Amino acid sequence: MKFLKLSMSATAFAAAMAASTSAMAEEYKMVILQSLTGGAAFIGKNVADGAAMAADELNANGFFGEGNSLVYEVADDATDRTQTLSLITRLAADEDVLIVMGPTSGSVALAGANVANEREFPVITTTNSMEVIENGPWSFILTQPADVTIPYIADFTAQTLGAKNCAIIGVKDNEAYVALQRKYEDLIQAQGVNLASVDGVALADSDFSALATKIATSEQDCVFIGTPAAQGANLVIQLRQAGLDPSIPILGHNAFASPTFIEKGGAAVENVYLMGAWVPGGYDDFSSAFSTNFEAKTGIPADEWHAVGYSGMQVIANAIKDAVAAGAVTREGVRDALGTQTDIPVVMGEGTYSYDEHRVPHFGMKVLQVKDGAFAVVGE
Amino acid sequence: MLSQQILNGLVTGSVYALFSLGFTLIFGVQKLLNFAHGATFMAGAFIAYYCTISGLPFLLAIGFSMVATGVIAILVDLIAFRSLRKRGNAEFPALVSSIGVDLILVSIAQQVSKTQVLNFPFGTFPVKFYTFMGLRISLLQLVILATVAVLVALLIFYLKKTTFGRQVRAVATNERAAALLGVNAQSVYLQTFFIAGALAGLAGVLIGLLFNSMQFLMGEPYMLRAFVVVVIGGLGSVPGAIVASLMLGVMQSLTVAYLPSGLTDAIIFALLFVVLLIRPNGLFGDANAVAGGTRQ
Repeated sequence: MKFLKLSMSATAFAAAMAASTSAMAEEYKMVILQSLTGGAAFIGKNVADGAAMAADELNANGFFGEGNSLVYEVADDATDRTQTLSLITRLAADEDVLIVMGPTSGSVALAGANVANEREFPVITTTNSMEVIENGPWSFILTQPADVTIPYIADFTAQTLGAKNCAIIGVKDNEAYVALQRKYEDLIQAQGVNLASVDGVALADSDFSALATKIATSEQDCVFIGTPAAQGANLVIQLRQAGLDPSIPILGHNAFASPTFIEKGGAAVENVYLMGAWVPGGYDDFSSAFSTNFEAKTGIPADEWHAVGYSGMQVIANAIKDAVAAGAVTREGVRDALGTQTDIPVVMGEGTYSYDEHRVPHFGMKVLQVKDGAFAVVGE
Repeated sequence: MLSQQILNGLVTGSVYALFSLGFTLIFGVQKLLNFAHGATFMAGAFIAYYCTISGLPFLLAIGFSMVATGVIAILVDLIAFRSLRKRGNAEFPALVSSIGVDLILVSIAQQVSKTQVLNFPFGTFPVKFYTFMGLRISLLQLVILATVAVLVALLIFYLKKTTFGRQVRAVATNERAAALLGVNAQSVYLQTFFIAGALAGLAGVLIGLLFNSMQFLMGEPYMLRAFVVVVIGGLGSVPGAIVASLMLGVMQSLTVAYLPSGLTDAIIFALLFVVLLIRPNGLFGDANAVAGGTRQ
């Protein structure tokens, strides 16, 4: 009987201690608002998956201190402005939500930035559009604008490959892709490269037979493809099938830095040049661990957008932690901390993420080439 | 390049024909626009893909996919159309209902594929190219052209020369009169949906093979073009759908090849408006054209 009483007392004490600890635990609430459906789902779903994994890992590793955690919800902007405006308005009304990671891209992100600035609610959109930053102090971008990234591949085209006449194939219905393509065109033209042709495809297109025949029967000494990885691989296959001279180099931007590109393209994408913030499989301990863990968790290899989501969550988590340390766990505190993040370890580019004084993100790029069915860093 | 582009356009157009025939058949018989047709097309590609990677021989996978999409189309009829048809004046509610089915199928496909672009494993179909009078044509393109030609001929024979075809035309012309003559209209509807679904499924597989790409939204652009095909060809007109599909395929190729980028859709829809102005019932349609018959 005495033993039973002692046991009950001990249990009650433990329960009281647990309750006390949980009362002191802090929860920092945020929302991952990405395009899980609709035209930009190929970006948004991957970003959301990468971000959610990062948040889970940070919590499991006690990043916010004993008992504290980042609480997140995943929501769908549906690549739709009306849904995005409605969601951000609703989230802004919930005082517990400190920040939104999203919306994903294009006009949807800009519309989201508009309402976020009106409501003084921090959002970090996946897009690389400078318009989002210019919209006001509450809206951030997660990916590097074309001004930062495209010089890597444009300089490589003009200076290393010595191209003189380049055919361009871009995506016509996604603002971020259009911005990258135009910047590439401007930069290579400024270095004396002529544009042999400029063509646009829609993200949902798969029939490139006419375009491939046109390019294969035209004169050019390089082909630049600015599309997502799977679509780009498909384009390369159709270009090869249409008889494109194999000695003509094909280049792409960072979206090609995905295992999907090699998986879908097979032998056809051999020797294709690309630039990547993400090196599939990883290039250091942090990125290699991410690559391994992500594939183990989801069953699919990590690509550039998974890495963007994972890295973005590291940046947000650090901003929240800094806001906590400054005693300003408010939307304003998180916003101010976010804009001053520098040298945050991430799994992309040069391995660290920083915002400059204009809130423009920098994390670097690498020029890669598909060699023997894998990505190899050019020059290493 | 011109002849090569025309060939490319004919191959693409022949697959449009396969897709559009089912769409126009349903419209011809029921006067309903089935917006779930694009999702059925996508489902065909997905089912064949998953069957193939599960180890099923490719030809069996195609056959299974066609049966499965035929069944999906029947379910669409039973779930989305039948009860509305009984009420009469079903055009608009059925349109909304079929959009709902389309969204459900697309969402399922997105979940199943994890939003990834799928492609048949390398070697699923032999990659062989032939050069003939300067034209470069693949074995796959030849097989597609032949398959579509045979299927279209069979469909026309079926509609024109068989008892079922006469029943289809009878129901399309006047359902009540056909019923009085002993035709089971519900059975005709189900068979029509099955054929339309199977053709859409096959079109999905062929497109997936031809362009090495399948994703959950792949039906949307084809759906939009099927509208153009049935309007230009004449609502409910089978020959019209075939001719308009081939025209559309060739025009698409030529605009990509010879005109500034991005004008393709603008030109296709401009053509649609021109046809509507000159021949409001389409190139092969009259005001009462229905799947080979004339609505009374």
